[in-house]
Amino acid sequence: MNTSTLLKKIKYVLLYIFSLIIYLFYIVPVGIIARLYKKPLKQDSNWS
Amino acid sequence: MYTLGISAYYHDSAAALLKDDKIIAAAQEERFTRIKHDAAFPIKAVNYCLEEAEISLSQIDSIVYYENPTLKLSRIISNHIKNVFKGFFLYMDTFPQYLLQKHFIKRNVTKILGKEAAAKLTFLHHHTSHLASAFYPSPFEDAAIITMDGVGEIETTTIAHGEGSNIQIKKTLEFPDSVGLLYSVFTVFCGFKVNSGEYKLMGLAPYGQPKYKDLIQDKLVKIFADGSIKLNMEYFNFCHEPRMFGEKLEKLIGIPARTSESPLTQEYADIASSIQDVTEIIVLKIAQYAKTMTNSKNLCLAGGVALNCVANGRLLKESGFDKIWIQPASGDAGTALGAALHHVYSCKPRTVERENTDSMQGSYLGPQFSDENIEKALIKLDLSFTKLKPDTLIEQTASLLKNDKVIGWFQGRMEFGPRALGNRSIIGNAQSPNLQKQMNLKIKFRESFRPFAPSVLEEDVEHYFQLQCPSPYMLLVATVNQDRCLNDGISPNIESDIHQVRSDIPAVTHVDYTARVQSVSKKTNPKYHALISKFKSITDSAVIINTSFNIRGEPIVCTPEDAIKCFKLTHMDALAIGNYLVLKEQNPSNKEEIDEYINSFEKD
Ligand SMILES: [Fe+2]
Repeated sequence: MNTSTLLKKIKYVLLYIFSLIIYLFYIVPVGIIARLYKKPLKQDSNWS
Repeated sequence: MYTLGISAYYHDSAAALLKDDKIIAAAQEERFTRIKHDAAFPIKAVNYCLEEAEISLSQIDSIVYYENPTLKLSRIISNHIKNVFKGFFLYMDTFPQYLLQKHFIKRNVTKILGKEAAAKLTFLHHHTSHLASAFYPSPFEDAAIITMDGVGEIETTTIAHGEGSNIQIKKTLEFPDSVGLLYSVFTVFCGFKVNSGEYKLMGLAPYGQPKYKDLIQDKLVKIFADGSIKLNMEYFNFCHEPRMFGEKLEKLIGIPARTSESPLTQEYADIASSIQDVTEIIVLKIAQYAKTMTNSKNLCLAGGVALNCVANGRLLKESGFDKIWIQPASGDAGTALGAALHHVYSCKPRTVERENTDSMQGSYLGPQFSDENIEKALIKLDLSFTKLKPDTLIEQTASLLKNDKVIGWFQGRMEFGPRALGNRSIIGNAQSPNLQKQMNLKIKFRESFRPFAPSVLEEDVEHYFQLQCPSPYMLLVATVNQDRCLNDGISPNIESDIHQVRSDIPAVTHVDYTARVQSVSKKTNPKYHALISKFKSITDSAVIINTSFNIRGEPIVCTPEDAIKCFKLTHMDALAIGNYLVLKEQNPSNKEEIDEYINSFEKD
């Protein structure tokens, strides 16, 4: 395996670890909190 | 001042170049790379735009990217927050790839176009790019603008008011509540591909009855009186899975989703008819709401849903707007143009020079080739050909058309947008009862139920179709005049009624007696107009078949080489390319080569 392929692979692994960290430490906690505070359903329009 | 607009990384990457506010060139990357819906950075399209303007990249003053990656990232993360846990695998599958390839646009531009270019880069919003592409080239000083697509960064539908050079956003609908995605779900359900199969679903709809319409409205989508919608996400999986829907939807509909290439049965036609009906109801309500919001007489449309020409035809009749203009490159390719136009008009007043004239130049914004280039290609690819005077070429082509020959017509600048409008077209005699079947199966190698569109002289539109306005971009569906129809009053059936003769222009009359009309004006395409006029003078018919110059799964041809190859390896009878006429009888092709050619493109 040459150096550039190795660096690429390391980059991929780091990226996946980074994504996993965001998931575990941001998406999961905020997602759990968001489940507790569900927005009421809009009744007669859904425009913002 | 030169402005370059770029759209990339989703589907149909494209580039567009403006000199001040004049459109110099615009093209999709797929035409150059020969990969259908190519989403790669449009470097070849950019290079073409520069060549067309005869400038170098350093002479570009501004580069505008069609969407805002940070907003898009925030939507992706907030979607995963809403779908925490069940969306984990989709997240791990897509998020790292998104970061790697699609998020850091400036870095990508630096890599591909260089530091100097990256310094000129700015970002616009996806729906603002669509809105700009719909309004700025339109012939209106004042218009309501509606953009509907799958999803931009966050928005799925936007209503805005355009006045002069100003576009003011009035209302937006946000992901996941999307009429585009709803249509795509059923596109997949009926066995077609997202982003290319929507057209097939629309063509299939008239073979069915809207039997599932109430079910869709009761269970899948709540349509509010103002046109806004709320999808019932219990039945859709696209927020947390790569698949758009699961078993729950199949159970609700009562039949399994169709796999591609399996036989099309009546139930799927009924589903297509139902979702088409529901889409039309939504689009019509949105348009009526836009009218009350803006008080404008005119309507401009863009976004993928605006390519639904059946819905557009209904909008024209029922929305209450006096005039409608639809961006011919309504999909994401058109956002490259919109982004550039928005940049220009953010610091320049806009005036519409002449009412009824848009600034799209017929959408003929792509490359063209000289006779010298064409001849070189013909010689290189070893074809026998004849060079003719322009008038003789038109005469001979018209006479071939009269004899039901199928002709590749390659002239002038390539079209921007998904439709061939008479410069990269395969044409035929609309009066022929057999040509639809023959062209679908032997030339396009595609599904036999798919209809062909007519090109009709602008001045003769009303003699054939119930349409009181021009439709230069093939974006309006209209009914064939009743005196031309042979109406048996029986509902059509997908399994038995595909090739019935329904009018005196049977090859372009769809099963519901409608046609997707292209009106041809002498001003925007004099050569194509002259051809149809000549055909009219010898047959008394001002209508011909116009379908894109490609086979199934292949991007529309761009260069003479592409056209010659497509001609050689299909059963087309003749090729009129520049001032050259090439006949199949002098250039026969062999079966193995044809098979190899067909198999070289992934079926769409
Ligand atoms: Fe879009």
